[in-house]
Amino acid sequence: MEVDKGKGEAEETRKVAEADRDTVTLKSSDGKLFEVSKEAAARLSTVLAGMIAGGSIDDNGTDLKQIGSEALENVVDYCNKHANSIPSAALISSSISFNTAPFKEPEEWERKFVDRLSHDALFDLVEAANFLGMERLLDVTCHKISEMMKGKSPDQIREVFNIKNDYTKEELEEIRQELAWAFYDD
Amino acid sequence: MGPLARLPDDVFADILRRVPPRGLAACRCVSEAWRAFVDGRRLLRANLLPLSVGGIFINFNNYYISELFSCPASTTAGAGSMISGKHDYLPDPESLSWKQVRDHCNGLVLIRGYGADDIWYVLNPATRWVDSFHSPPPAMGKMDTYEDMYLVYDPAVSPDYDVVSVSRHMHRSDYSCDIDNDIEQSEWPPSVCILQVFSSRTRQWEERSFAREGRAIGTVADMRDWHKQRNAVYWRGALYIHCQTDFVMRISLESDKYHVIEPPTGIEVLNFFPQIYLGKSAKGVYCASINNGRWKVRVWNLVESGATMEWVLKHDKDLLKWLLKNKLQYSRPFKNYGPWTLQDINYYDYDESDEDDNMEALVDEELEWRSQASSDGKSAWSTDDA
Repeated sequence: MEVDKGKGEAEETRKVAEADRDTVTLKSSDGKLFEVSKEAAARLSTVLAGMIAGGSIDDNGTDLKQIGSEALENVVDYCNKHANSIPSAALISSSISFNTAPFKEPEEWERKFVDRLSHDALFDLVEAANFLGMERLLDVTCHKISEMMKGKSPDQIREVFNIKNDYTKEELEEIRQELAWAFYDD
Repeated sequence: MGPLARLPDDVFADILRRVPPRGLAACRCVSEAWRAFVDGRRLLRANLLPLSVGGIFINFNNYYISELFSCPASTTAGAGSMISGKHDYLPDPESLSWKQVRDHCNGLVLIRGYGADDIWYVLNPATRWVDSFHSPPPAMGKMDTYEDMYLVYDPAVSPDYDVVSVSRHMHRSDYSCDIDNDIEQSEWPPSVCILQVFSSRTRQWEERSFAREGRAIGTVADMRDWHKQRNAVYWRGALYIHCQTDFVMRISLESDKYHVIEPPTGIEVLNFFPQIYLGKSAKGVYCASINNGRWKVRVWNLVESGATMEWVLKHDKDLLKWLLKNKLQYSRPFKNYGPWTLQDINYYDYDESDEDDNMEALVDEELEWRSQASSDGKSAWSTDDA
C-alpha cells in the first residue's frame, strides 16, 4: 500500500492504530488464536471475505470450530506467504487438457509449501481450504494429492491412502480388462 | 477407509480430474467405491481412448503435400467425422503452410510452417486443434547438420506434448564449409548426446544431455547421406528414432540415457536409403523391410529385457502371389481398395476449388458401402493369402 506523504505525524500515529485493525484474529477448534492480514484473508477466502463484509468478525478471535490449530496455522502461513510472493507468469496447463477447465500449475513456493506437510496435515489443510472457500489453496493441495496417485499401481495407491481392496481376484481382472490399454503387462 | 474418505465428493472429484487417463484406470482398480466414483462422474473419457487409427499420412517424393490414406469407418468418433488431410485450417491457408507432415505421434501431427519465421505447427486433424512453436536458437558453429523435429505425445499420460530436436549430418555436397577430419572421424552417435527438447507445458526449449548405452555405430563421415528425416515412434515413455545407417536411438525422456539399437541381422545397410521402416503395434516397436525387386516383406519386433534389445523376426513373406491374385487397378477416385481411401489431395488441389468440393461429397457417399466391405473382410489386406 502506498504511503501518503505530506501528512502530519498525527496521521502516522493514526495509521499504526489502523494497522491493528488490518488483521483478523481467527480461533481454531482447540482455542488457539492466529492473526492474518485482512486483505489477504478477504482475497484468498470467499468465506472470510463474506464474514469481513458482513461484520461477523470477532476482535477476540473468530471461532472456526471445524479447523484444528495445525491446519489453521498452515492456512495463515499460506495467506502470509501468498501476500509476500511475486506472482510469476503462471503456467496454464496446455489447452489440450483432458478436461474443460485448464489448471493453473502451483508455483515453486506453493509446491514447497505442500511438500513439507505430512499426509494428515495435508488432508486437514484440504478440508480447511474447502471449508473456508480458498480456491487457490484447494487447487494447490488437490494437485499435490493427485501427484501422489500418478504413475502408481492400484496396490501402491491403496498403500499410500490406506484403502482396503474389496475386489476378488476375478473382479479385479475383469476391471483391468475393461481398460486393458491402460495397463502395461509387466 | 483412509483419509480420502473424509473429503467431500466434489473435492475428491477435483483431485481425480487432475489424474491422467492411465492413472484413472488404476484408480478404478483400487476399490469398488473408487470405481463407482470414477465411472459415476465420467472422469475417464473412455470414448477418446484407446486411440484408433483414422488414417495414415503418406509423403510421396514427388508431391509436396502429404496424402491422407484414411479409413472413416474405423474412427471411434463415428459417422460424420470425416478427417481431412488438408490442413487448410492453419493460419494463412493459401500459402504452402500445410505441405508435408514431418512427424506424428498418437494423433498429433507436426508440420513446418512456410516462411522465414521458422514456425512449426502441431495439429490434431481429428479435432482441428492447432498449436505452434518456434525452432530453438541455432547452436553456434553447427553448419553441417539439419535439425530434425520429433513429436512426443501420449494422451493417456499427459495432455502436454514435447518436441525433440535431433541433429542429422548433411551430405558433403550440401554444405560448403571445410571438412574437419577430426570431426569426420569422431564416433557417432556420441557418448553424450545433447538434444534440444521443447515442452508445451513450459513453452520453452531446454538443452538436455543423454549418455549413450551400447557402442557407437560408426563415424560422423559414415552418417552423411542425402536422405531426408526418417521417422520415429514413441512407446511407453521412450522415443525410438530411426537414424542414418538404419540404427535406432532409444531415448528415455524420463532419464538421462539413450540406447543404441543396431539394425536387425540380415539387413544390408546402404548409405543412402533406409532399408527398414519403424512402426509400433500391439507388442511395442517393430521394423519392416520391403525388398522391392522380389516383394519380400519382413517384420521384426523389438524385444527388450533390461538393457538388452533385440530385433526378433516375426514375419517373412513373399507378396508376389497375393499381388498377382488380387489385381489392383489404377482408377480415380481411388475407391476400389476396401474401406480405405486416398484423399488424393495433390491431384484435386491443382484443379478448381469446385472439383475439390466434389471430391469431398463423393467420399461421404461412399461411407456406407465401405463399412460393409470392411465387415465381410474380403478386401482386407492379409499376408496369409500369399
